[in-house]
Amino acid sequence: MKRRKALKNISLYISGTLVAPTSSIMLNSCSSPSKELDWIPKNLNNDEAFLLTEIANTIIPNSEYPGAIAVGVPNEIESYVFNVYEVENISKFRDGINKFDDFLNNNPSKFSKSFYESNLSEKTEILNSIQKNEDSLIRRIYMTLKSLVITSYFRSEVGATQVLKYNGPSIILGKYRGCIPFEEVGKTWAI
Amino acid sequence: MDTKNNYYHGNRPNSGYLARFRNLKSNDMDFLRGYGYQGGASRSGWYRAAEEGLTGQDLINTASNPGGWNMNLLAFGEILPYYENKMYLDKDKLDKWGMPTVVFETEIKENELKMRDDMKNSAAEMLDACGFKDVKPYDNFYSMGNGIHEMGTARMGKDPKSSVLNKWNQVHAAKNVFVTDGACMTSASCVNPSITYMAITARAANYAINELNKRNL
Repeated sequence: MKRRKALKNISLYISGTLVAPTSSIMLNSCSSPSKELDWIPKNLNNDEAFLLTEIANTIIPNSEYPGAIAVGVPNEIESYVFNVYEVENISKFRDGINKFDDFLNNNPSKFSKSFYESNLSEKTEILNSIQKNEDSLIRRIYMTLKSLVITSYFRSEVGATQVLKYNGPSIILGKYRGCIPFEEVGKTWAI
Repeated sequence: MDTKNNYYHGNRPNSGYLARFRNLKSNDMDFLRGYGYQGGASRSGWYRAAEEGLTGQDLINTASNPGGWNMNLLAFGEILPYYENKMYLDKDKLDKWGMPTVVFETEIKENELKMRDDMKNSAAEMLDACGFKDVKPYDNFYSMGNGIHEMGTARMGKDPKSSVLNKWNQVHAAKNVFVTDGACMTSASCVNPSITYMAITARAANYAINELNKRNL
């Protein structure tokens, strides 16, 4: 993502009253690997929260739509995991994050620098290649994180109403039409 | 028909239902009784974007366009009454309040296993014959509770030695207690039982009122 475009997108969210993710400027730059967060984790430590934020931002960065950080995906995942998971699964989740963090720190990619020092397109390539590799613990951890990021994003207001077509009311009210041209809807239903 | 361009609006209030067709007039299968199918068709949604190796704009594009059509058939079959299938109170193993714990001792047996084989194969055969591609028969195995409509545990019968309830859903050993849910069933048939439960409840209540008026209760 171009720094200028990121800034432009961020200014959109300010006017849209969403939380302004100041640190995504930093996340999108390729110079500073210092682990600053623009949200305050309640349970995760800074390294864990930073990894979660980086993964979320790489999977769904700002585009024509606000990305995962802009809609608050990392905070949402933290809140979901710590409120809903059973105790042993919370530690499994944290353990997974730490293993993934170690992997990203200790396995320099073909770009010969760590994940955190890479730019967005390099990060994208690193994550996509993990998914395309054969089954491994690291891949399973990544798929769990990705699933959380995607679920949280498409259940957010932006994901469900802008990227997808929100069908909250029509899922309960109104008639069922079983065969209509896709153009009438235009996007995948959110629910 | 260009099914790629077809989509739907709103929520279908029910699913497709294929009524029982096995062992209707005579028993010509290697198992007793039968099963019905429930199911429906839909296009896969945004979640599949997680499964493909995508991020960023590619992921957004995939998620906002529905995926291919798929159709699912799910079988509901009868579980025969087995004398050994039971629940009881374990007075040796107490819970934290000192109360006996409930133990369920149940399993499906040969008849159900053979029926499951037929459920799986017939569904695949039907979908194949309809022209579906990539048909995958599966058996996710059964544990009591998966069938949603669990029945039994206080079965109805004439003999107090082998049953809990009499024909009016009244407990043999305690005439002022009526059990009117699925517990009275001796066999778990393949059809949806809720309306039957409503009917037997109304019937049992009517009987109870008459008995009460006659001062028998």
